[in-house]
Amino acid sequence: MEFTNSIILTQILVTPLVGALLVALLPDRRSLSRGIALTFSLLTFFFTLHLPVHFNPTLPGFQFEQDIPWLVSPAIQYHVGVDGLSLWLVVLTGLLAPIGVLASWRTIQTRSKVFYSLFLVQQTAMLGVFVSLDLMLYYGFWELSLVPMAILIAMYGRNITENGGPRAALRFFLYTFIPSAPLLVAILWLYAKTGSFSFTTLQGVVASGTLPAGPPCWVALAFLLAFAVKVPILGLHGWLPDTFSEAPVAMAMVVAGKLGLYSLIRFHVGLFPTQARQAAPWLIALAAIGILYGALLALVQKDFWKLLAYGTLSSLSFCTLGIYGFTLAGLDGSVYQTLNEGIIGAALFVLLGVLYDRFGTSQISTFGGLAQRTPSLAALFVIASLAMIGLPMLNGFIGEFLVLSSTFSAVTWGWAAAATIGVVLSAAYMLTLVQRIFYGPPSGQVTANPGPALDLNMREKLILYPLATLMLIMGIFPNLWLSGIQSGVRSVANPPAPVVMKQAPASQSLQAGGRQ
Amino acid sequence: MTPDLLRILPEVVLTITGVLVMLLDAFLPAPSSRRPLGWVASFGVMTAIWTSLWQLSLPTETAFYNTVQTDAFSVFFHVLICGVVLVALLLSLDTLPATQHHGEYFALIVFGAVGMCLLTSAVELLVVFIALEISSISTYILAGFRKHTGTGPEAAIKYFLLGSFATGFLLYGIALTFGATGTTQINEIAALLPLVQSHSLVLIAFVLMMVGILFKVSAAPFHVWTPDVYQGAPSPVVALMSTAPKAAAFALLIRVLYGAFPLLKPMWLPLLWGVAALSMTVGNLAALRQENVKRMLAYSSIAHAGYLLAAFAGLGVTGIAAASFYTAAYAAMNVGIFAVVTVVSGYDEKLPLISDFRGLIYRAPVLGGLLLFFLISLIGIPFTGGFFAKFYAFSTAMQGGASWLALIGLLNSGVAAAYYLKLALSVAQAPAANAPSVAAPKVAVGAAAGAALAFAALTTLILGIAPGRVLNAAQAAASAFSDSQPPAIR
Amino acid sequence: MEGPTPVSALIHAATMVTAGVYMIARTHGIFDRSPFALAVVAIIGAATALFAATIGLVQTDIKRVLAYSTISQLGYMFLGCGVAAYSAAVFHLMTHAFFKALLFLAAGSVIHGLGGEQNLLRMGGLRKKLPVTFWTMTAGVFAIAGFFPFAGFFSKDAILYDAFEHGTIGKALYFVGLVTALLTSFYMFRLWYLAFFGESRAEAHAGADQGISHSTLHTSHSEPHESPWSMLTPLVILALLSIAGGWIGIERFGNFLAPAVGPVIDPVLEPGGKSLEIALGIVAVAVAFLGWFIAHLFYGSKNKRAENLAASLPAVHNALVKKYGIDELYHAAIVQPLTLGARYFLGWIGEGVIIRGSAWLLAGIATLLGEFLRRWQSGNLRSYSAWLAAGAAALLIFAAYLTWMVR
Repeated sequence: MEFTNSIILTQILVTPLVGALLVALLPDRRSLSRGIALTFSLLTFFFTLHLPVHFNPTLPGFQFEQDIPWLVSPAIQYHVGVDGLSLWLVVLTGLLAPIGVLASWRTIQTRSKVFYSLFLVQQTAMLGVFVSLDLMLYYGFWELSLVPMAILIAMYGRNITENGGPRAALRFFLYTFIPSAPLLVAILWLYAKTGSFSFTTLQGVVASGTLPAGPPCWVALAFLLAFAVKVPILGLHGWLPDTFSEAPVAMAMVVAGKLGLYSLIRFHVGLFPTQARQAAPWLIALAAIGILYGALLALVQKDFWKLLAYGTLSSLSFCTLGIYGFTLAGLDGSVYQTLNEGIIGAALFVLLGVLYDRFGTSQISTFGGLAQRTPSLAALFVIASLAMIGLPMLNGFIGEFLVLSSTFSAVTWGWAAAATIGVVLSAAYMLTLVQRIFYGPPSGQVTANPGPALDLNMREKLILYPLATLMLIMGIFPNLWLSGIQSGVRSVANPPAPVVMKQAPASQSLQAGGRQ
Repeated sequence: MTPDLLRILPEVVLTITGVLVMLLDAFLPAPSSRRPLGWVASFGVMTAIWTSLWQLSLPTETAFYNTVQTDAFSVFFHVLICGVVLVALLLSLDTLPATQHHGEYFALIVFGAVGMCLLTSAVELLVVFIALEISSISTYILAGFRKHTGTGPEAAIKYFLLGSFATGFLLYGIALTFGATGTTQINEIAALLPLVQSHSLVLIAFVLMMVGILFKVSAAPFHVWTPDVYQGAPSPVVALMSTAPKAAAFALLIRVLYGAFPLLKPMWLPLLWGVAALSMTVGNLAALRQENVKRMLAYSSIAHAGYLLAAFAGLGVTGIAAASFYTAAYAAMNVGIFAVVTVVSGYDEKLPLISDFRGLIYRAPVLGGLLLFFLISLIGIPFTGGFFAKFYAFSTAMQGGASWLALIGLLNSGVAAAYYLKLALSVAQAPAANAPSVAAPKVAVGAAAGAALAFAALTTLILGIAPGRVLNAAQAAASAFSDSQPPAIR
Repeated sequence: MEGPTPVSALIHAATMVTAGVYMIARTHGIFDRSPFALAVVAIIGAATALFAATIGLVQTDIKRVLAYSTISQLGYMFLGCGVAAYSAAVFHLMTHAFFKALLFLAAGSVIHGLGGEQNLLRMGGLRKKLPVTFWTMTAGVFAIAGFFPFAGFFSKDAILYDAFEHGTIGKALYFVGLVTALLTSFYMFRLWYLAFFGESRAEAHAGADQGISHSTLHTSHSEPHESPWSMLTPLVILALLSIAGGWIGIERFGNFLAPAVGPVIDPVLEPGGKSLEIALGIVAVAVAFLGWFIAHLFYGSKNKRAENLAASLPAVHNALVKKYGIDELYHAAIVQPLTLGARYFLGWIGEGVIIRGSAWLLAGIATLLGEFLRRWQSGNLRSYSAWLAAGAAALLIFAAYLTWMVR
């Protein structure tokens, strides 16, 4: 068991890669590619389930750790591990992979080999982000996750506008890539001053205050900027609407939220608590305004992809609000809401993808009265919408409630009130969407489309029913997840004791030659 | 064989190969295929690589009256240059049309390799000049190999004239150095430099030499020849030109700066930073607007020269190690991408524009995938050689205190992603609905070209995932400059 | 209200709409500490009761009448909370649940019997055709009007008594409540007459799209008919509750709730309380009869009194029919500014100018510089040489400067 525990993370990382290689090497037949992709993604998910089963919430620090030297000079380690914070995110990513494959089952028709192999590489990259404890390894996975996304958006973009796919891909890539340049500089600066890329070591060094006074402020800012784009935080969200419009469903459901929010908690608040506190008022303001901004814009969108994009912006701003209140409940709620967004977002993407596939358009005005023809679709859509709104008994409520209650108590009530109004607005835009698509008089397109084949088929139900069930269970028994999350959040809030730096290791390891 | 000859064994091997190729070309009957010449050349280059590696077993010493020196540094670059030449040869085997003069082509490449290799071993400035000229003249001629186009001869003439102009600067600098110190041996110059009375003479000599060398590495503001020449020269030649002579020139730069003028470091370090920043910026910004793939890649190589120069900021000799590693990685990915461009566009360049590459991944998935891979490496995405090279270069720069340079460099990388991505996304984009398939012919890749591509791709990948051994080699190469004692002079 | 009547019965009668009352009663400890807050609640409650009742006077859709009646009765409950008579408010909540659910389900039965017709003006004469429905609905109407000994009497009376005892404001509110009771009685009997008495004004089978469930249950027919016993049984049960539900009495009910909401104001213990209570009760019943009488005047037989009254006060009538334009007000004051603001201010300016604009600006600068640099490459050999020479000169100057700096 000890052995399994130590290699399980590597297993999780390598399995999708093996799958990708297999898909790439075997002939380009759609059934073959997608079958292999499904098998390996299910296998990965199965492996990720090992983690919560054997996770011990009472132990501080990281579990399932593995630390292998990769390079000596510069000193990069293959150091992976999870704690309560990343535990469920890893499982969620594992869950979304087979769902993504199933969602793409019919829609990806040409060059499926490329799609599925890149999809699996993306999986590894995202899982790598969550488990990396070496900053350089983390950065590697962080950047790597951009590439399959950009390529697949360009290849499979819906091209709603002329050349929309490549343009959205370019925008997405540049928005994320350019701020990661200062991130790399910051990481390199930390390495230059401490001689280590290891997260726990750096945490200790920063806490001990031995770093020179001025630069950490900029370093923390660089970290913040790079992560803020990925969440996205209001102001840096320009890539979101186009990406949601153009990206294939399987990719879009994983693009927003998780990576950025995890990184903010782990590497911004976790590494630079003082600077994070200084930046907190701005971030809270941006988050609260973002909630309203996203919700209001979602209210007036005519295209349902863009509506979902702005709605997601609003939802994710809740998470940001929870983080920078610096309360335990807020952080718990923020992580929980991140999980929620992953599940609800996936469900909504699949549902909207079904609509798009059946009718070939994302303009809301072309729909109407669909509930009669597609009762299962309507029912699941309503459930997902209610979860997004935050109806009690569904998972959205737990996250929103934790965040809001902590904001009311720990932060100024003004922003909290604004955020609460955002909840109301979220009901507005989601329910009007539901009403316009499913209820009311049937539109021309709906009646023109004959046959019973409009409603969800077996495969789509296979994706959506578990998600809906998960929403319900997460809403009723949140402690199944919160216990693990809380242990992780506690260690973010109470970092380890400061490490006294050994004298100038930087110059030692970089002497001429560095022969080893 | 005298020990001196052993010190230039790779060059000897290459010279013999070149002569052999020319002789065979003369004796082979006219209509028969000239492909065997390419194989002879390739075999000769492989032998040269092997002999270079063997030279590692020799102690570090000079030869031929202290004019050449064999050390880990020269071996590193020998292997690098010959590797690139090999890839270029394999590529040319399949892409050079039968109408071209294969004999001279392969011979010129091999002779050029002689010059480049010699350049990395030379420790005496006149030998440097000779080696530089050997390598340059071959490339001048090769650049104009597409005789029947407008851009081919234009490229050759421009390259020749501007190159000679720059070499003139170099030579004048050498002369002035001789005037100042009384010697042209690099190590002796370093020893004699503190005794020179006229600082301005040294300064002028140094700057003039720099102009010549920086021209060869395509650093701004001496980069103006690069786009036109790369566009006009045949693509396999550009694959060679953009990597091997540059690598040799960087080696030369390192030798001159760290070997001859270490005393002037407080002056040339900021100078280099300025040049680096300028190169990056000019290269990247100009590339943004390019539609022609080869021109775009030309500007990209200017930018990469800038990133490489930033590595010199490192503490002690770590800068050398970083620069050496960067040269290796840059060579691998650049030769790779030009190889793909050659195969796709063809020798006669029917498809020169970015838009012509649209949908490549649909009609030629392996080639498209390779192109994407090289572009990703050029952008600097992790787990590729390009990223690790940049990481290493900027990491050492930051340790040397040039944090702002690292910031400029990495931001430039971010901006550069725009134009690399333009090509990458065009490759990935679904073909236009109305594009006739006739305009996009099926791309055929011969075995030799395939081997070349595979070699370049594998090297780039390994440099990104398991760079340990090459890193060690680079650090060993750098250690040749850290010894306070100059090597035994005979 | 747009939903099916059983849904309306559930949520409008008993559950959803009463959540607010429950909240206030539950958190009464907070409210008790702020007489101002309580006053606000009471005034809002009374105003709501009156306001909604006036709208209900002129509505023609049977369900809409009941909906506004619900609002009005909720006003009563709030009034009860506002005078700190929490148990009275909850008592009224309970009785209201009985008779409002009854009324909604009976309305549903009527609508079903007519094949989807909801417009009161097109009903009539259903007393003979839908007897069970008629009698059970009658029980509900009497209950809501507040006739003794139906359920509504006891609870409404409790609230009105407690209001009256609550000081001068309380007496003013009591008066408002009394007027509202009059109106309530009036419009409920109006509904009663219009639906069940007189000649049938039904047109040819109308309301096609209301009748999804209807068309799937029966084949089409043109005659109004009684509903099946599956629908009538609940009506009977609720009618019995509407009759007897109030007999538990406010005292016993209040004592039951006292641990949760505080002690009940027992009229028996007040000086002169019992007699005041009886007096107020008589007034309430009298008012209820008055309302019935007026309704009988207007709608008991076929006449034009209603239309004449409406015609003589067109402004008032219009305002009432349009529900005081509240919906339009909300739309104009909240919905429109939000959507227009979102679309133009946030959409054009925010998303367009700031977000897209800044990205476009950055890209534009880079592009411009790139274009500039591109044109610099003239292709002219001599200019290239010139650039080389100029570069050499610049390098020299820069190097000299650096040397001087290092000195």
